[in-house]
Amino acid sequence: MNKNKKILTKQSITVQNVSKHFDTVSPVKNVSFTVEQGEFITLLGPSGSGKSTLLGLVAGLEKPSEGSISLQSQEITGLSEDNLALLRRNSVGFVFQAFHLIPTLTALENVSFPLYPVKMDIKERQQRAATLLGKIGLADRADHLPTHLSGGERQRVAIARALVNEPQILFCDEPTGNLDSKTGKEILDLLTSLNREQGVTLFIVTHDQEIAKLSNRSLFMQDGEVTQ
Amino acid sequence: MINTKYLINELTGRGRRSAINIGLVAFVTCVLVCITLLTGALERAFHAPLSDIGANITVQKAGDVPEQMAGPVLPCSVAPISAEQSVVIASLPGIQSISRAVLFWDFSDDAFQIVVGMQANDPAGPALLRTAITAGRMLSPEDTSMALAETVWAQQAKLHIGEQVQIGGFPFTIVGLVDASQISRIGTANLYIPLAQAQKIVAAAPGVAEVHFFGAEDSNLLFIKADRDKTEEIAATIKALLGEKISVSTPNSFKKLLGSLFTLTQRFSGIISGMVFLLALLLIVRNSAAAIRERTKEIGTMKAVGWTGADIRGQLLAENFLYIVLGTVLGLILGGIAAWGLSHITIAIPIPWDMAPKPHFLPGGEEQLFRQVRLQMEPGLQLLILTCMAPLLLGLTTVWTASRAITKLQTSEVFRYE
Repeated sequence: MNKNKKILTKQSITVQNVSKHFDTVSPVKNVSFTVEQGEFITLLGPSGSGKSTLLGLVAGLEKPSEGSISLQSQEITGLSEDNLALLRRNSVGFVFQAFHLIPTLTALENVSFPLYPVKMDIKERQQRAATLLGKIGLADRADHLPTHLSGGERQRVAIARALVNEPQILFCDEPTGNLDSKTGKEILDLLTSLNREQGVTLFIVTHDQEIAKLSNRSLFMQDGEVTQ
Repeated sequence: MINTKYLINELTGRGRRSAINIGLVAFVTCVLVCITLLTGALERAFHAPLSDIGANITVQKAGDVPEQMAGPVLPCSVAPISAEQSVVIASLPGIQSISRAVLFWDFSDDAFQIVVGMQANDPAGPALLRTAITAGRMLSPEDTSMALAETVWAQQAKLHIGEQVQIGGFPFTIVGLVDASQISRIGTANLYIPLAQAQKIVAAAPGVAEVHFFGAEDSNLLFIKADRDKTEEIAATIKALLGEKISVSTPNSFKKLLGSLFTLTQRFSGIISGMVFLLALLLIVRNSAAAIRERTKEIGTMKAVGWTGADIRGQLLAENFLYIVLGTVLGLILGGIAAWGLSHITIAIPIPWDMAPKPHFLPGGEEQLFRQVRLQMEPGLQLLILTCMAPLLLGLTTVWTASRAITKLQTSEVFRYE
């Protein structure tokens, strides 16, 4: 999979004049910004300001009504759903606020889930997932189903799943939103260490100022518009 | 690429959903197996009275009876059919063979007997009694003045093999006993003699000559073997050829004889079964679509972590294929058990008086005869293919259509949809 990755460029995310309209509502209005490779960016703003919509647009989960978005220098606004999926498979990780783990799969299987459609040796896939579970301190929980894991453990599994394809960019939507403060801090420590040690671009949507303090830079969103 | 681990986990990890999906397919398969087997068994049952005697058409002609019942007399339902008419019928396309017989009543001062003349080597008709001999031997084509006696009648008449019996004033030696009730109720008699001798007796009988002309080569019962798919067409042609007084019986005649209530019940149960089957198929469609809908969040996750539309559809199709295969196997087993239960049902098919005439004025003369037929379930390859393909095609088409629609949505739309 690494063979398919493009050579890293300095600009990891480029957003130019992006807007999103739903009928008469425009949650994102003419937004432009860039993110350098290895940067840790937080997107702040009150509820309903358009943060999650913008995150979806930047991560290729949604298409903008106007403007252009590039990830790792690849223009994504014209890509088909399947090509966007392949881009996410190869370069992007995504952590949801609600974890979105597969309930019938164990922690280990959930971590390796993004690799299921990839032609690779099963042992290699399991080894990669097991290594990640070890790194996030859940080696002993590998065989547990999500229902038998705490909220913090589930989010750790979700983070490991987002990392299993060795992405250059990690998008997180309120990653600590469903966790208590102690567990939230642990998750945050994990994410920041990934950013520091592995140079993963970190793009976190949050309304938590404490997270913003840890980031290199914060974008503020209000009524669909972004200020830096 | 289909992941078998995920496939098995979905099947075992979502027990309720799997049970509903598999159960639904099993139910549809079971209903389909039962309807098809039952329909086939009923059709075969209607053929039974005629197939017992190796024919699928019988031909008789209505006529008059003499004023005096004395000596050999032809019952009103079996008037003569000329040799020429038999030749014309034999030439009709689709007819494989014709077996001719002569049925007559023989009255004497203190006795009455029903006699049938037949050719011992015929492929159909009373000649098939050769398989129901209880003692002695069957008539052979070379026999003259020999007779077979019906077992129960012979006991009542205290007749034994080797003894003589008078038929139309001529002596016949009993060479065998036969239990005709095991074979057929059509054209059954107390005594069976060679056809040529029966023709001779009837042609010379004053009681016959009073109302009919009976030629030396004529007969009054025809047992016809015809191509199964042409039976009704041939029956209609014979009726048109030989006029109004001709009575032609086919399996459909027995179906009609079971009465309008039976037909109505049969149709009603057919409609109910059909509706249940359609409803069950609709449930498969609905359930397959619902299975996709309830997994929209999961499908959104698949897309978000890099599964393409083809990856997702392949996985969902494989899951549903497994449900349907397991459901079909279970349904075939349940259908087999149900069919086995149904095969113990026996239905009574009435035999018209015309086909086994007995004088009304004698005890039991107006008694309705029935042929008891046990329903025979005969599963075939066609049934197996139909029962396997219907849920498979419907289920997989629904899953493919629903999953295609959902994978075409943008990932965030899938999450919003959920």
